[in-house]
Amino acid sequence: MDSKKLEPIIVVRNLTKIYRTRKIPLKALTSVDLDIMPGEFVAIVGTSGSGKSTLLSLLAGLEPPSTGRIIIKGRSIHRMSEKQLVGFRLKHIGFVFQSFNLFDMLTAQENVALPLMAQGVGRQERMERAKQLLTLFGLEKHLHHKPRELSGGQQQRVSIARAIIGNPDILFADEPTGNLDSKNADQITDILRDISIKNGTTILMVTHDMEKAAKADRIICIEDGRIVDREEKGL
Amino acid sequence: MKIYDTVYLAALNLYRRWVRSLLTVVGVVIGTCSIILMVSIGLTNLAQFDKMLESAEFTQIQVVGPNYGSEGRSSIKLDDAAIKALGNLDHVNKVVPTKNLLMYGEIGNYYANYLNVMAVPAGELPYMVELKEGRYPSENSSMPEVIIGMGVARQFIQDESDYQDREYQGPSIDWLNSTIDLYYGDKDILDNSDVPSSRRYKARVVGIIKDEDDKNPSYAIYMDLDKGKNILQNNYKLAKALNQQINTYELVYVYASTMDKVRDLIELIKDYGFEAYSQTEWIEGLLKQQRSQQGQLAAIGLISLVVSAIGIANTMMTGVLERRREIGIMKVIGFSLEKIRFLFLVEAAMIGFLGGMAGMLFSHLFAYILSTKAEETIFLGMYFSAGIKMIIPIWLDLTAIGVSIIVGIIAGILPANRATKMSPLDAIKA
Repeated sequence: MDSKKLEPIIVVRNLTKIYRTRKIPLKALTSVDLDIMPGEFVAIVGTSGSGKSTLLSLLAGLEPPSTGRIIIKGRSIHRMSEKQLVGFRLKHIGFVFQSFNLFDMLTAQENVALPLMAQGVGRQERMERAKQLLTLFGLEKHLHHKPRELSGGQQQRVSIARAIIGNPDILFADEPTGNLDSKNADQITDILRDISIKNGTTILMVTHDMEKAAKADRIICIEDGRIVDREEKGL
Repeated sequence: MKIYDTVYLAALNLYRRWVRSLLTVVGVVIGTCSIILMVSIGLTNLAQFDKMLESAEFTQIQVVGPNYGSEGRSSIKLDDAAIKALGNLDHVNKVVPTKNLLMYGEIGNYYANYLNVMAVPAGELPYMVELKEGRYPSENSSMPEVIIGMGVARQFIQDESDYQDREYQGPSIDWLNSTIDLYYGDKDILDNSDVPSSRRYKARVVGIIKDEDDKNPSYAIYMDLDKGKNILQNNYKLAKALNQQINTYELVYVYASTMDKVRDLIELIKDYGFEAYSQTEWIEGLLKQQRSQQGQLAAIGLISLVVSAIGIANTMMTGVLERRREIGIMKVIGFSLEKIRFLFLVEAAMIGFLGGMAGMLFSHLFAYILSTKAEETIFLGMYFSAGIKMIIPIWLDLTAIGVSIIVGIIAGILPANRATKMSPLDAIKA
């Protein structure tokens, strides 16, 4: 095992998130500590409202924590400005959403190439790379299709391709199979598993489906904003 | 992110909501059109005005003899020496002396009392009067040659009662090349046996003066100055009886080199002891009024552009609110705030550009439709002496397009900033 892999890529300490609603403050996360190693495929499992999605959005820097520290690749996410966060995400983080979140007016190929566009890669090069990735995902016949012309499973594969085209170190997946039938859901989980193994990408997948979570290296259960169970497999 | 990528995304976004985009563009088209057309009308008006100002009329100063009321100045005479002195003044282009002759005329069995004949150097007449037909009087003709306005025809009557008839048109003869018998003086003095009678001058009508318009025919009669002076010299006793000086001029036109010299020249001429007038003051007032009119027109144009700016801002703001999820995704994917702001600004600028381009094309179309024949026209309170010929110079086109792009960008600032404030969280909340 590489000596670098001994250092966790994600370190979370005493992470708390309180939403100040009108009447009573709502504690979404309470004193969460978490270490994730590079290349790990981690499933975060919990019921609706358990705080698993909040954990993900805090890790991705989409919202600031109330207290606590998040260190990714040695850098303090919780201290970054929004501008720094955008740059950090562009370089190191990919995101897969439950509802795919593809751009309606762009083709599958253009959607995949979007992060490269943000990086300033020329059209020809990024379209070529998007084509390669989509071919890898068996979507070579759908390069020029708009998202509405694709099935849910196909859309999610496009969205995964978009998330990994920039070769991110970490991939966040928020209920990636939530809108899919079981067959497609299995395929998507397998693709994520493949990416984790072949590219060495660290993957954090939020799900409420234990069956899908079972394909991960490690399962973290969250209940009422606290980590209640850590099941480690394979490591 | 490359510029063409931003333009491409912006164009796609506009195309996706093309009905809304189109309506917004129409707003800009109206704004651009109104600016271009309003400024163009103003320019057209100004161009005609400038042309009008270049005409001799507005560099003309009318000089008359000394004011007899003022003491000590009555020795000054508006004679040939004075004409020479006036001609030597700085900024004077030329000096045109004239004499006025009161005459009695006969043609066939029609007669006209109190004809007012202007004697002007024949060479100056082409600059002063426009002819409808015929030619200008020659200096070298043996018999006097005159040009007349058709109003003169009405002065020829058979009986005093003809004057009572408003519709009276005078004898129906072909005036051009007709011969009028002219006598210096009026009927009373000619009938007065105490005074030597005038000779008869057979004057040939060689030209008909162009009327200002149909309702106001010209009553003028012109002849060469030397011929007029000869008439006076031949009838000097009669002139004395009529209290007319032979060697002074009743009215002298002094032409300044440019309009802005007129005021100073008038002062100078007055210092000599003559009376001097010009239309400059009137025209300066008119000019001021026209300028304010143009300011008002431009303001009308600007107001409609402001309205279209609000239209752009509204469309963009709606778009931003509608696309909050998309904006969130862009933020998650890694589009920087600057890129997102720029994208929305480009979208707004594109609306402005499209509206500006279309507005320019429509303006030229309207300009073509609005242009009238070369007739006097009053449009939006402005006077056009030779019809509306809309001028849209290329700089106006370019400025209008530039202004509409800038208006688009300004209108886009608020929505674009709003877009950068959209939370990326919206993207992941399904």
